[in-house]
Amino acid sequence: MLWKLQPIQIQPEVIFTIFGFPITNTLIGTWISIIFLFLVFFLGTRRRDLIPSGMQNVVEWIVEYLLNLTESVAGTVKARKFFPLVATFFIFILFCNLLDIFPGVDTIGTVNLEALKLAHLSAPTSFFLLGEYSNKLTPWVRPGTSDLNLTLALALVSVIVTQIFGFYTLGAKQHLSKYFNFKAFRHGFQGPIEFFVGLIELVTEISRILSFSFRLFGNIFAGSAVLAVFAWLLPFVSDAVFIPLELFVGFVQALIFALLTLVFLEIATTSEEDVEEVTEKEAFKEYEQHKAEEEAVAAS
Amino acid sequence: MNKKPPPSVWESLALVGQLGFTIAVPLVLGTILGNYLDGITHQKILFLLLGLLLGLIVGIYGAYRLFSRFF
Repeated sequence: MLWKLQPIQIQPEVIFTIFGFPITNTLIGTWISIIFLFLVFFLGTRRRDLIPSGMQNVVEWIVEYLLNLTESVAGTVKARKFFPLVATFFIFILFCNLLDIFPGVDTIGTVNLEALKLAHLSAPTSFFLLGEYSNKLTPWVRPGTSDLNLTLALALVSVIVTQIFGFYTLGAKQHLSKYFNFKAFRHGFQGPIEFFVGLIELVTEISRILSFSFRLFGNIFAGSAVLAVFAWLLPFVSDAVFIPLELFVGFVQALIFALLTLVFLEIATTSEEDVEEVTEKEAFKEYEQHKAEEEAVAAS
Repeated sequence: MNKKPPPSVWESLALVGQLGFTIAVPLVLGTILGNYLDGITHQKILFLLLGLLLGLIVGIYGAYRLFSRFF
């Protein structure tokens, strides 16, 4: 057997430690993504010409596309506030995800000597590892988002910033009354139910930390596992199928994370009173328009 | 909110992706909490069922809330 299936391990491997702080392979992957991101945007914004060319063109296109997307969800005024956070989420997660498909990621590393001992093998003699040795590898680099710690941190940032924006735009009293709706008790019989609905809202906010972090982690981790498993089952052919798929998944997951953050920011900064007022006004306008049309038909 | 333009393809995709999690995560959390309470209070399945029901209510409300902007 030329190749053996790589061990699929959820937790990242510790490569080395600095002053007792463990440096894992996903952390190295994250740093590679950050450096690459920095290079792209440094080269793009180094010389800001009025007529862009080369890298500046690419960066401007990315920023403009993201700004349009933000404006289509949040409207032009709020979009300017939300744009830095949402665009950073998108670009950073995209670069982390795309690290998955580069050759060498997940496949270049040191030989795990303890695993060799367990399998009763002596140390390898050649540079390339084949046969029994090929699954005793500790990869040096793994994509950053295949580590639950990073995605959990991103989800926490997303949820906490949503709350901060809610407090900032609605004020503490109105924002908290979304979750602890004591005013509802004035409504008599329906009061306890409305109060309970507010508490449910609080639970959904908290469960969003889980859903955000697990979706991103699960998709990217499963993606790298699929690439590893199918490179073993069906070499060369499978890459042609699964690498484009991973490209697509990486892009979509980054976009979904950014857009959902944006949608929840939009929900958190919209007060319920505003919504009712707008709906009533619009309904009245619609009614008037409808009436005018009917009159026009009747007149003709 | 009737006059809001229809969401873009990507926004719809994101919302649909979130829908499953919105229903599933509270269900799982409620079940785990109920199971834990059963262990403490030596009940058979009372709190498990209550947690399941609560999780279901939270999930359905969350799903409604997610799409209520478009109604």
